[in-house]
Amino acid sequence: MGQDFISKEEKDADVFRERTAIRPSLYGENSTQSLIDNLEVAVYTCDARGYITMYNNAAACLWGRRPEIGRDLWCGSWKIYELDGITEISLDTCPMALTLKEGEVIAGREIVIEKPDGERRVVIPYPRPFLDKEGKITGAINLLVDVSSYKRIEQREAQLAAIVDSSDDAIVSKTLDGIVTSWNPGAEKIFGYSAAEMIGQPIFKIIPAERWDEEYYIQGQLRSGNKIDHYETRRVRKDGQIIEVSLTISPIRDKNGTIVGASKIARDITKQRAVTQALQESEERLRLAVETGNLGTWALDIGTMTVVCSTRCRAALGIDSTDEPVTLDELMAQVYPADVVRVRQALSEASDPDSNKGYEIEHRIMRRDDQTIRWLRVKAKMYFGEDGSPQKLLGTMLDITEEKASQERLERTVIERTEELQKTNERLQKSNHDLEQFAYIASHDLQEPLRKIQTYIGIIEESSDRDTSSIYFPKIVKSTTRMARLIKDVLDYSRVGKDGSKFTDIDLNVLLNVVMADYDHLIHEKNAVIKSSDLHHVIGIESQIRQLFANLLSNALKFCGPVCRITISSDYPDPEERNRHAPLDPNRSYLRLVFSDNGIGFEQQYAEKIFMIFQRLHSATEYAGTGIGLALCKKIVENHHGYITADSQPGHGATFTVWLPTVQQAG
Amino acid sequence: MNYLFVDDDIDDQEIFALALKGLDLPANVITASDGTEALELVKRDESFVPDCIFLDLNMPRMGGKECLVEMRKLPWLKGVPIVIYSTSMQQSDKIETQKLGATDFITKEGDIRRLKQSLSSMFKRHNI
Repeated sequence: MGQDFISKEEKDADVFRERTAIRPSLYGENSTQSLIDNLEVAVYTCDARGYITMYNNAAACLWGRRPEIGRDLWCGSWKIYELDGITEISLDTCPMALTLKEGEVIAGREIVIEKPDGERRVVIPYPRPFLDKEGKITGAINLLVDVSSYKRIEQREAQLAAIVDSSDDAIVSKTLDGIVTSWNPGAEKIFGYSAAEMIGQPIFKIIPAERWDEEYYIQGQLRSGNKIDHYETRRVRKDGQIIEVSLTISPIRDKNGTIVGASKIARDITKQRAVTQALQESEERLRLAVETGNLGTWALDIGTMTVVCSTRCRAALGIDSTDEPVTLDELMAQVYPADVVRVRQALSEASDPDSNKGYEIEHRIMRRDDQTIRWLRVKAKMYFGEDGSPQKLLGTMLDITEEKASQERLERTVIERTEELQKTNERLQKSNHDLEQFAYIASHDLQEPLRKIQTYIGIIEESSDRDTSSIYFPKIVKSTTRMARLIKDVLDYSRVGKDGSKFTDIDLNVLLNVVMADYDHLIHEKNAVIKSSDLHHVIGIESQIRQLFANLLSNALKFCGPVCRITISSDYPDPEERNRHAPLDPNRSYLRLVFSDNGIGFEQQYAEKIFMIFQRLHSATEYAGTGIGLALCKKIVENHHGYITADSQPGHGATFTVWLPTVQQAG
Repeated sequence: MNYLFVDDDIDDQEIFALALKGLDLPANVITASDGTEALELVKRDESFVPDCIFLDLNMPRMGGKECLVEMRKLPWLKGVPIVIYSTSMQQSDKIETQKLGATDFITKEGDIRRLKQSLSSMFKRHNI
């Protein structure tokens, strides 16, 4: 290694030496003493008892003092310590003392000498005893070699070695040609090769074949004196596994500055790479999600109570598109008043580290730009500091006004449909009930003429009298005719429905004239006088209203007395008048039609019975008819959501009142 | 024999008379066309106590059931058999009229022979 080591102490010694340059010694010129005196190594002698007898300038410099000849014992040091610098060595046990006392020659022991000013030097003493002819110790001479500088170097080296050895990173040195010269335990772990396996081997061993030109590149860079920093590449372990590494390679120079090799630090970043990759993918997915989801993102810094909002976020809130953060207060001001309490509650809950609740809420805001009210769905996660205090709230925001509106519409539609369904159900049930009743009555009444036919045929069969046939055949015919009429009426009744029939505007005056024309013959026969006022218009099914008029008119004509007078009128009664007479829908307006005659009338107690199918108040012989006419009227009126009533007194005529709505709703 | 026959249908009145004739049971049949008329008849003259009363159920104004109830209120008609003479074949009608005081129930049938048989059996049953 080409590093200079000129320590301060050495410099001081130089100075001292200069100051005490070669000069006549205290003990005479050209004597051994003079020679010793000018040596750079500290030397001193002691007699057998241990008293210092001689020392040189170097010793004085090392000791930092000049001991008294004949007075100081064993050593001229102020203080001596073991290498730890703490354990003091008493002068009488110092190496020189041991040598004098026991004749031991202790070499290579390192001790620390402390000068009076506190400065310390690391020294290796080399004491040797003087022996007389008998082998008795007469004194000793000691060389004190100052190894402080070397000690420091040693320590530094040890430190560096420790760092290299304990590092998890691979720290490797190699020649410029790529031969490995050192290989730390970290390298062994990362690459799988032991130091013995790698030292002296080419570095190519751990480089995958396809990357060998990388190494040439690296060598080129090194030769130029360039460092390679955090170079990410791949290497191959002993077991063949490819790992991702980050390399830092520096040239090593000798003390002349010449590049003699390279040090390489390799960090295994395989795991890191994987994590980074996953993170990138995750971020990418998030970005996509946010983009496609139209989500606005925001971050609330709890410390500053300001919020950074993304462009989409700002758009949703109706804020200007800048990068400046918005204060929390400004945002809270935009929250719809009725929702403020909930929002504060949610924030407070999210700020509690123990609650484990995220921030999730739907609330309204007023846009800053146009003051319109929008619904937002806001979700966020709170990040807490180590002390459990809330630090940052990171979240998303989505304008869900449309979603909410369509949801409400959907709910309303469901309610409407359900109501409709219920109404339809009710109608169906009623319809079914009517049908059952009708079917029973109809079939029952149809049986009657059939029974009679059967009876007459039986009578004819039993009788041998030819006259019988002439009496009963006409009766049979009469019965079949009756049956046919009944069947027709039943069919007519069943046909009077609503589906597929069109509701149109009907001029009732015109309609009356048409019906009167149909019954012209009967009117004349009865000498009936028919009076009518302006009957107005009505919205209805033309054919059915016509049938209604026909039946009511024919009914009046049938039951009228010798002087036949029929009056037909209509008006629009006020709600009060309506409620007195009929159970009508209070939310609708009605036209009231009145048909009154001066015929035989009927008892009011039968006023409802007469509208029932085939129910008659008189026998068939008295007044012809199947008893279906008024039932048909009732059905027609019901088809139009109206109401029909009859009022009468026997002998005082009858009045039929028909209520029809002025406006027909669908269904 | 005096019978009171209450039915609004003229044909049925005729058929009834024919049936009686076929059974060789001469009788004087007085007809009423509904319950109201029938009640008027019996109330007008308390001495008029028929040997049997025949009641149709389906009649205009007052029907057979109502008439039956009213007639059974009249003490001088107490022993008089009242027979329901109806097209109905409903068991419920039979049970109800019996509860209301009817003596028997005859179903008007198309087969004249069967009708005659029913009448005959009924007369025998109640010693009319």
